[in-house]
Amino acid sequence: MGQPLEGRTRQEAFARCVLPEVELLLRVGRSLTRHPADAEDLLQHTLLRAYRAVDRFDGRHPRAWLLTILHDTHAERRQRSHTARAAATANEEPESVVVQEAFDAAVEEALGALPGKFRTVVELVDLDGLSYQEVAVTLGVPVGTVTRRLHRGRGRIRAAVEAAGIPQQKEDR
Amino acid sequence: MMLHRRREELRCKEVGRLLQSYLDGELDELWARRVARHLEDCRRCGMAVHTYTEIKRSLRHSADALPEDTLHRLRAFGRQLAEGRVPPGEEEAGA
Repeated sequence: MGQPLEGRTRQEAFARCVLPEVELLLRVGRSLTRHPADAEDLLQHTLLRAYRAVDRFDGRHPRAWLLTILHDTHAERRQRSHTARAAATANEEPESVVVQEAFDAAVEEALGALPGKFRTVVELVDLDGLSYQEVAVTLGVPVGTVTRRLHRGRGRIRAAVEAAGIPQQKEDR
Repeated sequence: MMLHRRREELRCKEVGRLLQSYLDGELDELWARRVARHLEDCRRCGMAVHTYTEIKRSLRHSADALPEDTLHRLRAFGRQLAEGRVPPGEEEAGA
């Protein structure tokens, strides 16, 4: 590949390389924008840019290519408007003294309290399942930065959970 | 002998730096084995692993299900593009 695509070939390349990644892109978009409506808008612009650029894509590593487009699109949009951060999802669980639910709630609260840079990396890895390299591409930072932010982000969550004094479940695998 | 042994065995501080990568499967096999060996014998680091594993599990469990309607709309939009039906005003080709 790498040759100019025309007409149906361009569309075929888009269908083959981009459509299978829509769900993942939406997950990552939600982590980046923290607001559902903004995520959908971001995704539409990303898909459009991908469609326009697919004729220059060599066909290798479509996910990384798309994450780069997503990152660039998001960065440009952030310069134009400030995206309000979604508040941490309210925990609607009933009052429960179950240790696991208390632990989960503490983790969720600690995640919400993280500085944005740390929280985003934790979400991209732990919620969206991205590799370190994919996170680096998405955020436009070196892998070492991803590792460092992840280490600090999870470290703060751990400290918060331990400070809350919630006993952990025994390993029963 | 002791120097050789020190090269093989990791200390808690070193394991601490590698732990997140280890848990995410981002270490190469050699370093992952070294970390694993340390964890077999070190209670403190073992407890840290357990805590981080539970945190990861909790986060994964809390991952919101994607809104089906949003996903449906985006997939439909993508299919539209794949069929060459670009929205009005967006037809211009990329640079």
